[in-house]
Amino acid sequence: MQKQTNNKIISDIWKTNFEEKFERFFTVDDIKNFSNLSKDKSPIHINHSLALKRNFNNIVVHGCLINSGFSYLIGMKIPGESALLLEINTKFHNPLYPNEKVIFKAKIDSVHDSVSCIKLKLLASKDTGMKVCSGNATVKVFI
Amino acid sequence: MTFEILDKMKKIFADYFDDDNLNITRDTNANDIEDWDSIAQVGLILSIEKIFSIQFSSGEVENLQNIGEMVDLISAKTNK
Repeated sequence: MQKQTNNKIISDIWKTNFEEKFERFFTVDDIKNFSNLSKDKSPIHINHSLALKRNFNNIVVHGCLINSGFSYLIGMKIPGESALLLEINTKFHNPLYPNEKVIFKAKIDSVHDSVSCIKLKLLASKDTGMKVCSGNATVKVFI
Repeated sequence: MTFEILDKMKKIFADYFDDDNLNITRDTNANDIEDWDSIAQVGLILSIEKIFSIQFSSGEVENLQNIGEMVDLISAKTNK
């Protein structure tokens, strides 16, 4: 087996069920910028009339742009600057449209001192309670 | 008991590395599997903890030399 060098114990700091959340919305400009950055210019993200034709109410926020909310939570809040994201799995349940408020939550599901990692449960939902995205992440914590 | 643990370990490694042809023995170590890097180490330990319903302490897995030593550690923890 490979050696590990970190002898500190993360469970002294991070506890199961600890949760962080924040809310935001994504604008049409955010979607345009992400389309340019990712080169994902699929019409449902940029073409309003086509999005309507496909039975959406508006253009749809990219799933990976929604995931950026989890990036913020993990990198800035839980565990914050000591984070190294190792794995993230997300599932999309309902479309998110521009300017809709979305609440991001990350909750510690388990703490693993053996490898200095926490596992997180992730949830993004609209303020109506409608689930937009859920998933989990494994994060290395440097202490 | 340790044979059963080794069998489960073979499954864990096959699943993790997506390779049913891995030759996993008690002597296997990180030098024998090309993709067994520090990230894989984390994933493997987390899988082992989940499958065997155990938690290792921060020091327990540091100095293990091969899979055989891991099997013995799991055996000791699951026999408690």
